[in-house]
Amino acid sequence: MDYKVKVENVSKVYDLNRSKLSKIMSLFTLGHLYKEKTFYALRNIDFEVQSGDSVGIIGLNGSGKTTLSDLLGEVTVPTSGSIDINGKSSLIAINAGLNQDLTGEENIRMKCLMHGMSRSEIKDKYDDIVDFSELGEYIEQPIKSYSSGMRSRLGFAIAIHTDPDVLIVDEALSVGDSTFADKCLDRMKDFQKQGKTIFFVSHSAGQVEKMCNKAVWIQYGEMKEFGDALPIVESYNEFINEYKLLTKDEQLQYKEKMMEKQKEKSRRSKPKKDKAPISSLVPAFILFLLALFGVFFQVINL
Amino acid sequence: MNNLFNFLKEQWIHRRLIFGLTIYSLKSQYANHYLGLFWNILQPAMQVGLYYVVFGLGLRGDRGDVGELPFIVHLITGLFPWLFISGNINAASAAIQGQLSLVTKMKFPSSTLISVAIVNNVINLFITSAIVLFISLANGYSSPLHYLGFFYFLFASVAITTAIGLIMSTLVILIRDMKNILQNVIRMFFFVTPIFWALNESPGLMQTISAFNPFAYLVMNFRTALVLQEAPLYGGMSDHIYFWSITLFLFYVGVNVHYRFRDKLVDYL
Repeated sequence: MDYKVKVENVSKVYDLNRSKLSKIMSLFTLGHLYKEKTFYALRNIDFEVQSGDSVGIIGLNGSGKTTLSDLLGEVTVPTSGSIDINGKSSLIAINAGLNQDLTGEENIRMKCLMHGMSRSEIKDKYDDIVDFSELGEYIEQPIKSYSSGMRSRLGFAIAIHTDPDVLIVDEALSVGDSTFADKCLDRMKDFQKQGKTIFFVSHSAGQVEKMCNKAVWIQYGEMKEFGDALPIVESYNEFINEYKLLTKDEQLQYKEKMMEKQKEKSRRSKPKKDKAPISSLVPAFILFLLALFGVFFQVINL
Repeated sequence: MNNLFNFLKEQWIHRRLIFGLTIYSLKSQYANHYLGLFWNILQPAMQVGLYYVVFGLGLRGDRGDVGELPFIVHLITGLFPWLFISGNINAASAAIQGQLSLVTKMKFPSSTLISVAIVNNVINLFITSAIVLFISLANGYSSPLHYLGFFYFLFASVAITTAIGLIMSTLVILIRDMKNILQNVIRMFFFVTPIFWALNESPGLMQTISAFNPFAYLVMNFRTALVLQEAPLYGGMSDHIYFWSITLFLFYVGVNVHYRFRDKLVDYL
């Protein structure tokens, strides 16, 4: 089976322990001697996506959508399980890596460089990026003078021209006016035609319905459903409508109940601790002895 | 050991990225400055002027020359390599923290940020060393073959500052206090390193301290290579062994700390 992205039994655990001292302890003892207060932001996510699929990731606030998109963009690593991506994945992070003091032009070149493009590739794509961003002559201005809309247009234009195999869009379209959003959607449709895989993170069911053929519904860290987009969006809508009918207090109660459940589950399960094995210290110890030898040698030579 | 080679390989693969980013970081550093790159000469020149008045005319007074060298030459051959070393450590330690939004939102080889910081400083070093070289040639302080020792200084100082930078760049994110500690330690080393004072004129205690101070070894190597009559390298066998065993150990610790935390930095913020 040739898949594009395979997410296998992925969990992501965050540590709720804010005590600095215990973190420092963990640092110096390589993860031994440390009690984690674990919280499963994602638990046992499992799905497979073929090339050409567009997958919507939907769910309420705080359900773990952003964590999942970070994992898919390979910005962080899962605590357990594995993510296998055939090709280059790119998470659209509009503002990441832009330098306020440089001009739009310099920023385009620099960020393309960061995405690993060669000089000739950058040269080829530069005009396209400027055209797409609709910045015109402002491209010569330092971007600290840009409005937030201009900045995100620039960021999106660069991101979409990096030519990834898997594109992850995390609420990126909430900025910019609707004509620009439409243009971005058009460009993503082109991507779909080229057989690229797109993950589309959104809490708007409408956009997902329009853009995607598959959907993942994440509910408080767990995957509630995965499959064709239409039925899932429908049941998600139903859920949302029911949820909206509740009074404010009931909504809060529901949220708290679910969060409590998520925490309770986290407490019960013990994730594999992130320890470095003692044996990994052997070369360090040898080098430490070497350093000691150097000190000793220096002492007797005084 | 694997991580060590991974690190070196990563720098080699991304060498074009490193040089590109260095240029852009220089550009942004001096954007909106009237004097631009000229500050790279002006800044050290002003420090030399200040130290010359305070330490040379003020403290040394009529003792004047250091060995055969005028004090001003002694001072710049100590201060310029020191500015390179301390600049490297400061910049490399802040490299990842300064680009946190980039590292936590984009798949990006964060170890290259340390190299960018160092390449940036190497450019400054070439400028300041050119001045020293010119003075040395004009006065015939050292024979041209000895100048090759400069490349040994460059290699050795890049090695140890990269090692320290690797450790500190991660630590300053995990423990914010490290930044303050580091600044104070660097300031301390400025005084215990033979920059504005001379090793052979100082009491035994200072010589003992210098024997264990890797930066003293580096500064003396720079000085020996460019303006002293002695052999191209400074120090005896024990000095070399001491320096390289410490550097290798720090490098090993550094790459391991770096690779252990670089994918998980978000979790530690």
